[in-house]
Amino acid sequence: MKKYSFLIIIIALFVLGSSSAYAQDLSGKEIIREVNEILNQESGFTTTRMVIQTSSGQLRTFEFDSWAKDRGEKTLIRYTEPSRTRGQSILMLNNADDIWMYFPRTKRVRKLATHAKRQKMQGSDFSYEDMGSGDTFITDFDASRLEDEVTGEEACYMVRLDRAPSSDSSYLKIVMWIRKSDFFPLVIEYFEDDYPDIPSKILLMEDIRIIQKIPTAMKMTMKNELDLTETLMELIQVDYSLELSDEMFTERALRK
Amino acid sequence: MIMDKLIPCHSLLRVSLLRIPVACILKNKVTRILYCFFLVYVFVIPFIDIASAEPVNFLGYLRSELSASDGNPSELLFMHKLRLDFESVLSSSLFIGGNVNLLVYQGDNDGNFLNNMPDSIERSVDSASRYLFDYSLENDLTWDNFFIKYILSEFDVTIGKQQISFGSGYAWNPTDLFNVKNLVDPTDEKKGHKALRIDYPLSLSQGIMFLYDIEDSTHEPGMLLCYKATFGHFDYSLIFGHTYWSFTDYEKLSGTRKKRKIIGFDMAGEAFGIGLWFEGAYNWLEQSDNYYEFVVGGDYTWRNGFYLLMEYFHSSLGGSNSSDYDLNSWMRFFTGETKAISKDNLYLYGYYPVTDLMNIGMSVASSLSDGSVALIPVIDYSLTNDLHLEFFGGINLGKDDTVYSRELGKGLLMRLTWYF
Repeated sequence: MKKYSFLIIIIALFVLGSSSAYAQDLSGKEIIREVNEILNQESGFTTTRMVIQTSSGQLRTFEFDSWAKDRGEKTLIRYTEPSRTRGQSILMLNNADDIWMYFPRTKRVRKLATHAKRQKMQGSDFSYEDMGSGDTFITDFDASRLEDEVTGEEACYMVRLDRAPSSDSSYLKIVMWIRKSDFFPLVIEYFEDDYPDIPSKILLMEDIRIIQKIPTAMKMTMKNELDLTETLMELIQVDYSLELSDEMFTERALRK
Repeated sequence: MIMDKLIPCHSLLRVSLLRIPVACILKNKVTRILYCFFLVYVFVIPFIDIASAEPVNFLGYLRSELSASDGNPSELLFMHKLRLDFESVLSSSLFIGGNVNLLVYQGDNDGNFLNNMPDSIERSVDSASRYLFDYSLENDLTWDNFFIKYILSEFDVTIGKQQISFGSGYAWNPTDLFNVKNLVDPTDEKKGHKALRIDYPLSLSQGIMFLYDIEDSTHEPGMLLCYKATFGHFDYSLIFGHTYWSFTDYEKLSGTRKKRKIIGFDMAGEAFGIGLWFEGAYNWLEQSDNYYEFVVGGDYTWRNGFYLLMEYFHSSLGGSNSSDYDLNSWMRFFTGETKAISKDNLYLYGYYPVTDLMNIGMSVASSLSDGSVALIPVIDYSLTNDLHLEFFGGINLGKDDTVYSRELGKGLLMRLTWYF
């Protein structure tokens, strides 16, 4: 028995050692690929409550449903609250390279250029770019690994993303704290061109639960360090098991 | 009074106020009710699925608008608008929606179109005929929209009074046979049209739309066929249609109704990070000169959130310079018969989110034909989740007799909207 125990320990040490070596060897690019896999599931539906706390302390509350398919390549967002925005919908295809917006009172659909992603989402601290546009972290940024850190009680990879020369992202660079246990990002700092050394916005991922075997942040708080405002996004409903058809992501569906 | 509709956007004092009589198509009240029951029985009840039906949602807004001008005479007008929308999903394939508008005016609700024109045009009308250009904004209750939408597996059908909008243009839409926009707020709602609309998707990125419009006349309906497709990062539309166009000679005080055929092309997309669009249409008129119109536009959002939109509009119907403008040019523009007074027009709009609750912006409307310019400063502020405050200014800077002539004065519009 002792002989077997010794063998098991040896094997365990070998496995741990090799995984540790693997973890040490992971490049920033590889880590970001893992992050991308987790954040962009094959398909998903969420109902989200967005609460904006303004610089004067006022609160603005919005609710929206969103559907995503093909790992975030297709996204449809439809506002349900408040009544001023009810029915307004946004369709993003090709990783948000094609955007359409629907205005229910005029029944008008408008094609928007990708620069519209820089606009704030209903005046919140999230821009449409922050709402995730598929592979942006991979395609628009060059990733490099920084020294690992511990945040809270979680051992984290630190990865820095520098805007690729061909990218039109609003962010000069992004720094992420990524939980080693499952590659889930816990903190994301966004830096803009005007303030390259101070994060203009910080995103905190909280209340991370496993839903349908997928780690999901039920609360995301975006703190705007320049305007001293913050926006909380709280997931009310999440479902990764829906089978969404491609027809769901067309102008016809946008008008529904 | 010459016209029952008014589009005095040029004077920047009053937004579009298009009024529709409450009366329906059928005159006899009992017949009308029976007819409605018949329509509901045939077209609605078979499609209702009680198990999946959702309760009726009521929403809308209450808006108070104050417009003031320092023209001659100066004017102060309050308009209160209650828009009550209802919508109900009766089954996965049936949706009913609509809205009622109540409009109440206070203040200077009587006016004369001539007061919003340059002095030289105003003087061309003799004082005895002046009363013919009077208008009055009266309190009104209207069914603005009321439609049933069938969402079938292959296509969608929408029947009833509904919003119709075409084209990528922001301030002008040459392919839109049915509406005219207001330069003070081009995104404002249009009046509903009695129409049948069929949307038939050919694939995920292509589709055909057919429209049969009887808003103006059941005997002379407007028809439109639109093919739309997405290739690359651009949407393309090809539009064929016809309508009957009321064209008035305000000097002879006579009107004609001509068949207007249209072929239009529209594209919108992005190149080099800039949003770009083009919309153009060629119009054939019965017993009259044909004409064409087109819009070219672009927009961009800077990294700091500043947004800029620019649009150029050309109409071969417009005047080449101020000496070409006459009473008809102005009146046809005010009544929505034409989209612009001058041939070459420019519209710029920029805004910047100064705080998380406030945007400040500026529109610049210019006639390149006569060199005149009007500035329209805009402020919008979110007071609460559902309470919205907007200010629009209007400053005409052009020389006398031009489209945006200084003599037309300055204006202010304040709008408070509570959404519920």
